[in-house]
Amino acid sequence: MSENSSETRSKRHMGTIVIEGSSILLDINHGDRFTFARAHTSSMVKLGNVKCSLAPLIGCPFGSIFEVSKDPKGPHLVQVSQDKEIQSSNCNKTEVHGVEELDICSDRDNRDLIDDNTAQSLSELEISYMRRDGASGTKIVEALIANSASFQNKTTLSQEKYKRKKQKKHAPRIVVRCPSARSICEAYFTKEPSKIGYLRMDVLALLLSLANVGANADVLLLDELGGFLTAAVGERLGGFGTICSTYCASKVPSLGMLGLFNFTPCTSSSIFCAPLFELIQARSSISTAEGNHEVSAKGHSSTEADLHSTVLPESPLTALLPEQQTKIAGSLLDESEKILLVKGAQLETRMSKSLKASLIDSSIGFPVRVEMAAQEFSCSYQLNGEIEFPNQCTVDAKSQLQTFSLETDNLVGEGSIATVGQLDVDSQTHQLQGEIKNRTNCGFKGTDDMVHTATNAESKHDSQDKSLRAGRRASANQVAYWGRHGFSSLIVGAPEMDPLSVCKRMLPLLSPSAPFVIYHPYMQPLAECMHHLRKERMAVNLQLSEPWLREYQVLPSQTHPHMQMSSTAGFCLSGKSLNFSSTCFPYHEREL
Amino acid sequence: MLGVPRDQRTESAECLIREGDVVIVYERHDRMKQATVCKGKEFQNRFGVFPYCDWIGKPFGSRVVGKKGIGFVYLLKPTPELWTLVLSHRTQILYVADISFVVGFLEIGPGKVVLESGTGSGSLTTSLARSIAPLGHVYSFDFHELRAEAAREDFKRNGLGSLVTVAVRDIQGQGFPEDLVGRADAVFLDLPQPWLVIPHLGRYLEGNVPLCSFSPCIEQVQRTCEALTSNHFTDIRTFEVLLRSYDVRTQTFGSLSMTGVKEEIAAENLSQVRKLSGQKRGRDGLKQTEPLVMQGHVLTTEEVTNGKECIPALSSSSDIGLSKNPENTGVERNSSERIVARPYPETRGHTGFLTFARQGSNLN
Ligand SMILES: C[S@@+](CC[C@H](N)C(=O)[O-])C[C@H]1O[C@@H](n2cnc3c(N)ncnc32)[C@H](O)[C@@H]1O
Repeated sequence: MSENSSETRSKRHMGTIVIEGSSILLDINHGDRFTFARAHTSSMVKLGNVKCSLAPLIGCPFGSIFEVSKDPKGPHLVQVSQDKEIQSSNCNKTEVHGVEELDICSDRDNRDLIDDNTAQSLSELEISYMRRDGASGTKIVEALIANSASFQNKTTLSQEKYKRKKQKKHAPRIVVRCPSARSICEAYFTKEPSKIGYLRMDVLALLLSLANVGANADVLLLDELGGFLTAAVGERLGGFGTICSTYCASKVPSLGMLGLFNFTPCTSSSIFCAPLFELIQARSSISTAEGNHEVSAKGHSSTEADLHSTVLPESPLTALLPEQQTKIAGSLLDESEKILLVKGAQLETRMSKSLKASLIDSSIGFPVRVEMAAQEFSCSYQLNGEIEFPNQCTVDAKSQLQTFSLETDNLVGEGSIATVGQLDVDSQTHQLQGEIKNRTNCGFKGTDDMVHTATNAESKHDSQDKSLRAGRRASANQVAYWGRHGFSSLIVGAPEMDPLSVCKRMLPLLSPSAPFVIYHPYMQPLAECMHHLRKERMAVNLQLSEPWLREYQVLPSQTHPHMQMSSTAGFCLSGKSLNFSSTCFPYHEREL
Repeated sequence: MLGVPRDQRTESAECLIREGDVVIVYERHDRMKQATVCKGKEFQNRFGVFPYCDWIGKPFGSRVVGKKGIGFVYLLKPTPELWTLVLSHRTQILYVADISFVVGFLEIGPGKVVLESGTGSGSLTTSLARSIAPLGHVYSFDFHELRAEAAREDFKRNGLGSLVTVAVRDIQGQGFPEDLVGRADAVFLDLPQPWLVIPHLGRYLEGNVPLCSFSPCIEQVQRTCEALTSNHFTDIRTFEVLLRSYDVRTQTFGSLSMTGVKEEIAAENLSQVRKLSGQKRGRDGLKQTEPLVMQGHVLTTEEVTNGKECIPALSSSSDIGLSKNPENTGVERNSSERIVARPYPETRGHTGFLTFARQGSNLN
């Protein structure tokens, strides 16, 4: 017990302090704006019209509050105490959402208030002098209050509002948060929900529960939300279990959001990616061996027969991509896999030629977007001996999703620092170059903790990087393991996919009785999917549900729901897979 | 074991049912029970009799048929979500919407230490245990001795015994035990008067540790928030979470004709349909069928699957869009069949409010 808890303590400590290289989320004025950044002594953040170094943040606990001090040395961030903050923070939500406040509990009212700015005797010029002389934002706000003729006549609530308004303008509060699935989800949902597929934090939490994500799970994901779901699962598993983010052969996923998290090496190393056909093949070879192929071919699973009779071009494995062929030949793949790979590559070449069609069927039956940049295709087939999957150099040209890619020069700006909302984080080029060297891939965040724990961190970095990188390509052994056991959970977040086609391919990859959950922005495709799963007896415990969330302002005599409530949460279809081989004859047949 | 799948697996086999396992017996979507596998005994329900020895060695997710081929059920592996649906209610419990939000918002993960009170029926505790496994721990307190004991037994039966400690204690009166000071990563309260505990929580929550309190009534929330504010908590936020479930089925809809149909025929057919479908329901009393909705007819999945669709025959081919029996008319009856969804009328509404807060990190 005591061992357990001491380990817990140290782990918690690691996660609570900002260290050099930490990914951080800056929450400005309580949700007004959010900015992601990486804490380097040399990086700068732009706050309104000033730039400040992030150096003062390093060594502070997450949750620390800063404001900008503009003394003669130039603007810089200074930590402010919690106590100052508390007065205003608790009743801040109304302001955040721009809701006009009712004032039902006061004998004072605003009938005599004239909002013509004459009440303030402090001029703009005087304020700028104060600032030049190094007055803190808080000082300025205090001066403004002292010089306001109308302040004392305001209702308590209006006073509070006045203070907050001035504070936002003259002393913006910056809370340093640790980017977690929840905080990232909330930041994106508030500012740019489309980038996480309108996934609200309650929905995310629901997905993780319904999919039974917990230690030692083997979780399969179809994540077309930039890797956000994959990362959230990674965070929840904390390195216990395995995670496989899969994709159609022709659609390389962007898992860029993994880079926003401060994962431990252990967590990073549990996150893999693998193309769907490989998983299907590994699984179906098992079920064939067990003599179940009759059942699975009967419409439950996509088998090899299925895979081979597709829209693939007829041409043999020739001319098109000789380079890949040689590389593939040297790899661990077996014969049929090689065929598939090359065929897939040919298909893609064909696709990139026919950019006009917006949707076609790929070799494994998914609709595939063809608007992707051609370079993406070339990336996806740079299979070398190690089967290194280059997901991190993928340019997601289709969407404006920030990829946070770290290896492509022209993406460096977004790569190091992703901004949600209006704030930008400026980074100087030379720092960035240094950074790129350090973090050759997504795994860099895993190495952060290593810096923290290991003394000879720098040298360790490079040697361990590869085996630790989150989202790296799963080895053949790993794929075979999943094939043998089946995954213990499935989460699908693919707003542009047809859920039924996803289920048909992916449910057979699960071990029987495994929970699955599909998130979709539209209800109808899920309803149809549910109907068919039920009809074909592919799953039980099916539930189609719509999550609903409402936040409340709770204040003495002023409790009410927040007025801006999101109505676009999407829908979840959940269920449990069945043991296909034992829904078996004769009963199975009789029922159909 | 709930939620910790891999330990059980051997290299070669799927997850097979063994003597002593807890199994979720799935009868229908709204009907599940728990059972503990015990050789020599039988599971009985209104569909049939199922000897447990038939289950042993089968993978979870299998369908088993009752004695003499009568009745069938599916055997599911327990998850905290399923457990919440089958546990014996010794108190009001939390459901998946609130539970998932609590776990997500408190950011509970492997290795964390969570303090909880009261334990109640253990619905939330089971999910907390899944999330902190395999290294963390849940310390759960209830002042009701029998409830605590029953919960303890449930956790043990589900293989969570080593992850959860249930103790009998009046948390509102005594607060959490002294030896847990500084060890918690999250605190959860489901107590009638949480504001009595809040003033004493400070030392348990040092280091930006989050707190959540669940209360059904807004007056409780009000007092809780006042206590939080006066005890210098920050990030105080209150939420209500709901989950609306949808019923999915197929339905045919009539379409209004613009051409060529005499109104009399239409009227005639309509009355015929009503009559026949009335008979049909009488005959099929047990079956889940839906009444006629205007001219349409609702098909349950069972009906579709069994292929014994029971839309009455219509000899005349009117195009007011009534469902037609393929045998009699040769017209594709599915032509106007749609898959539709609507919320269940009995969806559970408000269960309570969740209030979160943190003790601010102090400057040193
Ligand atoms: C509504 S139940 C909790 C349900 C639980 N969250 C679940 O999901 O199953 C509330 C529990 O708190 C316990 N309780 C009430 N007052 C208490 C106190 N002062 N100290 C400890 N437990 C208390 C009750 O005995 C009851 O079992």
